[in-house]
Amino acid sequence: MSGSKPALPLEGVRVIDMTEVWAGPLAGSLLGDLGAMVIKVESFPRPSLTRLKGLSIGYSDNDPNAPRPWDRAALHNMANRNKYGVTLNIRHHRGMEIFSKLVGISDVLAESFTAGTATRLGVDYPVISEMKPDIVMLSMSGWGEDGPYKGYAALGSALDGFTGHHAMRGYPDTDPSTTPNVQHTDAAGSVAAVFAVLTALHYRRQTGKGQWIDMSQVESFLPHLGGAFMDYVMNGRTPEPLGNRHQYLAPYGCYRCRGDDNWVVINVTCEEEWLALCNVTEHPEWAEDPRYADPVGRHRNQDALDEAIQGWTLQRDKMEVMQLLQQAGVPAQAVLDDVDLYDDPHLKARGFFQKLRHSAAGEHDYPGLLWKLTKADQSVRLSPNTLGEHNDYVYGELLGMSVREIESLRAEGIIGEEFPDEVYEVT
Amino acid sequence: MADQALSDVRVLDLSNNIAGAYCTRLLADYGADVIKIEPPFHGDPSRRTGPFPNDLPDPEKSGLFIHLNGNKRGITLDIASSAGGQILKDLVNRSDILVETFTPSYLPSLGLGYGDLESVNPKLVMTSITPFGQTGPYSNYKSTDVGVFAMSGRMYVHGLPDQAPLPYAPDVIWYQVGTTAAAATMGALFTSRVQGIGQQVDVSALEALIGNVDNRPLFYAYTGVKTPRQRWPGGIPQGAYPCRDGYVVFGVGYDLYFRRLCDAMSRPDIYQDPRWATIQARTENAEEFEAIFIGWLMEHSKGEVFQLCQAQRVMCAPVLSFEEMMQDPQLVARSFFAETDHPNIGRLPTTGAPFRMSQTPWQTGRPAPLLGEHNSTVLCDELGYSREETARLRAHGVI
Repeated sequence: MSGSKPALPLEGVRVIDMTEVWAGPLAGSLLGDLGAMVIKVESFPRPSLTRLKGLSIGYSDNDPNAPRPWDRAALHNMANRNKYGVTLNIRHHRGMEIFSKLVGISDVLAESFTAGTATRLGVDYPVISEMKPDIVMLSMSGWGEDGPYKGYAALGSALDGFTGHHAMRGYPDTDPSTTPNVQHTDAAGSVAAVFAVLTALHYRRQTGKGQWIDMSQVESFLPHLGGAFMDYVMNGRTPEPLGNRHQYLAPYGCYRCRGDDNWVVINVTCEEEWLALCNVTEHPEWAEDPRYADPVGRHRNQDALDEAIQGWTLQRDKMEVMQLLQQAGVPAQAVLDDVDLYDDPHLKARGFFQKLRHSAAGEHDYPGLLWKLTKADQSVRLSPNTLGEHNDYVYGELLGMSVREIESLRAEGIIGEEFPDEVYEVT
Repeated sequence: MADQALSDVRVLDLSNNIAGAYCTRLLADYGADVIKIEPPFHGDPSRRTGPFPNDLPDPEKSGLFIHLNGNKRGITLDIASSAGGQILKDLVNRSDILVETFTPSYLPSLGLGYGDLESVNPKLVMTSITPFGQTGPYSNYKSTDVGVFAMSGRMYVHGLPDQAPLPYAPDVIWYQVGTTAAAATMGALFTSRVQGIGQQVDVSALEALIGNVDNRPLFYAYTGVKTPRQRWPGGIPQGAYPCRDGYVVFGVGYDLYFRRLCDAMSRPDIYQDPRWATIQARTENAEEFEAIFIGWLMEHSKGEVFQLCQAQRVMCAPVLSFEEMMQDPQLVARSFFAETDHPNIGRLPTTGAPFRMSQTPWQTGRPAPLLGEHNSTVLCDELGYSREETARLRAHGVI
């Protein structure tokens, strides 16, 4: 850390992260970004879903057959920076003993099990708060910790359906079956979880009291649909998929540009921007056209208007369209793909991507922090951990176990740094 | 009223529209004292955005404004006037947090940039939310939620291969950014309270998205292969499938879950068939499987499919409408939905707590403020202006 900068906000706070997949692990990384010492406790020998063999894993060098594939998965490594990584079989009594020692020296415990699983594993809040009375425990299940769906399992794509979001983000006049899955409740849950933990830590700093946070990922996302929900309760309206169009505004769309699969988003939100669009595209006749004389006419005749605009964008590169329109004060953005992102001059100027070296995956540019605390050091301190990378440090240095004890845990398969073939090969 | 976690935190909300307002709504609902500062006469732009009851526009009846600004007090202030700027500084002096969403050059042009406010209150956390951040070549670019999403890389992969990339539902990106800003603000509050050091928090909506709503950029860095727009990125069945009375979303790529699904269908023979025995084989023979699968689904309601599948621990859920959600046994059992009692629109259901804290409750108390509703309380009772002085400020359009 540079000498002139204050300590990171959560320096001195220790977090046990037992979460899996996306929402929880990213929340753990964000707490790590803020300076907490995050210990990721991974189940062993059962691999977590994101370390498991499968499709869409993103193995480094695109090679699933190189050594240590579980450490080389982009799916896993994207959400697990700034953590110390240990493995532990808590179903074994020695594993549970060690786990309770870890809890005893920690301030926060985060888990994202299906509701009810923590109780079955012996790590629910009543047990954890016996181990450490002032702990802040975060449980982030799909539907919350009680109620008739206790025990129901979900990934973000299912929760996206349950909240109705799946049905709102398709092409106009289509049914949900044509809309691809997304995991947006994970994105929403991760940052809500960080806010929740910090809120509880704030209270604990003043009162010394810990508490339990029950975060249903469905419930933490539903307020994000508040505008549509209010329209439902006020007017009985059920939202329809609008695609790239807007309920009130036009022109408002995604237009094809020159080249292969290149697109730009143009969203005109007021009269001034409309006139600027006509001007910069050198189509003053649009502004004169009676069909487009007012916002209602433009909305009513948007098929023809969109076609005319696309006639102009098709002649041009997406970045050129964005720059021309932005210079004229019209909201326009190129649709960037993965390649464009890494080349983008703005992200480069802000130093967004961070180069990290990973012992199994090699050196790559990683998407950076979600925010800039302008007086804090924003550089990632720890690359995504390999399996059991910090077993010796955490069990030896932090818990004071001897080399011999740690070796015996390894021999019994309670901890480890590699998955046995029979576990990893079976998906 | 029980203790709330943030009841000692004072917040000024100088933001427009959704992201900043949702950030401060989160703080308010967990106990912070939030003062929403709106421009005189027009107020926040979200007052002019729908939905309105019966679609009749009225700045005191906007469903969006009411959703975003409950539990806040509201004042009007022309911060561009010298008297208004001074009142803002007086408020900053007694606040922990200021949230704003102006283009980066605007507040400095009024003498109210972070440097100016830092000298008034060195412990201030000033959270600045913009589409592209406080610095860099796009920092003054205008953008909607769709525009930021377009640049995040996620839109490119969202949709069908031969059609335009698609956005998410209207506004959800701004809520995502607002939640991110709330987390970052709480982080900075720790530095302020523990070390006595305030700072500006630069929240670029674009960066808040790239690092979170999309886990694909690192795939490209690792593999050198660009992710295309596609329907089945992780094996089948994946997506929303029709059943007798609606749709159910599945995301069942791995063998283990596929076997459980076949068990739920009472068709263990399917996963024993070499056409569907592995994830690769299932992707190659997707359409044949889907024909059988949809045949089974059409014999059941979405509630039945949900129960049969969850009994086998298959990760899936029905696609619900708001009407169905308000009657859903889980959301009803947990009493998720809350209610607001607003002077102009009466009692209406609202969405409830994003998370529950065992010691310090989420509370929905005060309805969203009417324009300038708390001018007198804040200026007279808290800042010590006299009634005559507030009348003078009002006459000059400062409040």
